Amino acid sequence: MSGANDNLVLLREMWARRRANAAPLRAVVDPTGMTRPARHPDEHAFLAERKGLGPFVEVDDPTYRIWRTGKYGTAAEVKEKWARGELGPEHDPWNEPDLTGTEETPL
Amino acid sequence: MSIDQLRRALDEAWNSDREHAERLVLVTAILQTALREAGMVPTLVGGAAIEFHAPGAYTTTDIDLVVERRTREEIHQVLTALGFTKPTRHWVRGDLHVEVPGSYMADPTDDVEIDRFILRVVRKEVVLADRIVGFREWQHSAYALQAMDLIRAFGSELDEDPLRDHLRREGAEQYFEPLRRLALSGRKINEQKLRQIWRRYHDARPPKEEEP
Repeated sequence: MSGANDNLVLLREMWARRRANAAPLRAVVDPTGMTRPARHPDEHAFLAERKGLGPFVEVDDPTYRIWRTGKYGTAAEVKEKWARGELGPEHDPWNEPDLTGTEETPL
Repeated sequence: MSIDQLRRALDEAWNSDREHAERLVLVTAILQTALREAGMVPTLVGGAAIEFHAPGAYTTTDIDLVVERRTREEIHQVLTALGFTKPTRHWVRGDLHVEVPGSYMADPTDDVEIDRFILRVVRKEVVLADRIVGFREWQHSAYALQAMDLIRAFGSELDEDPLRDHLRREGAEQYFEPLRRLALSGRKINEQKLRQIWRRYHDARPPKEEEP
């Protein structure tokens, strides 16, 4: 057996072990009304078309996305900067221009 | 390996009869190999990283990659060569959806060889910490649920020191123990219960360490 296949065997064992560990929790969960960060509208539409949105309610807050970039400090710092106006919609990654593959940046 | 070979490997992997997590991980490793051969440093983050560390009740076909060292245009060239199209901001191929949410990776990662391909994925303690911070700061109860799922899944494999360091930096350490207790309790978990925990511990901060 190759080293790579050894890794796959180990990975399958890890997944089986972790699934077994988590199974008792998954049996007592009611996800109704639970919230998660909003998906980008394009991704939302893509998943909705494939019935892949899952059970959670999406809540839109740009400070979450700004924090996830890792550029502006801790979550609390990002929210404080947002409240003080030091961060704004222009820092939201969803608002960054994307000219990839367009006429402005031809392949 | 040529881009055509990688494209064929991607087709074979995604259309195989392997389980979902294995197909997702293998496809991601192939994508990363193609990006790496073009000089980039890609890392799997987000929901697919959770699926790698602990395949759960909610599967994903959304692959979030932080890609360092190249532009979106260069990423686009590699992904289109692999058969992806880009109808909007993201790249798609059949049921696969690839997003590049960032170009900066400060967190520790793991490299795992799968078949002939290397997968780089953000470390499990980082994934768990991000879920707890998302709960603390934005009250995302689904993230608390995912955090508890990960805590149970990892069991004694969890490295608590880096996890607690990460949570302490983010001011969210006070939620780790309550979520762990609930995860291990066997009690019913719902939105109301998680709201109670959020309110109870939101203003609690761990005692500051004494200065030398």
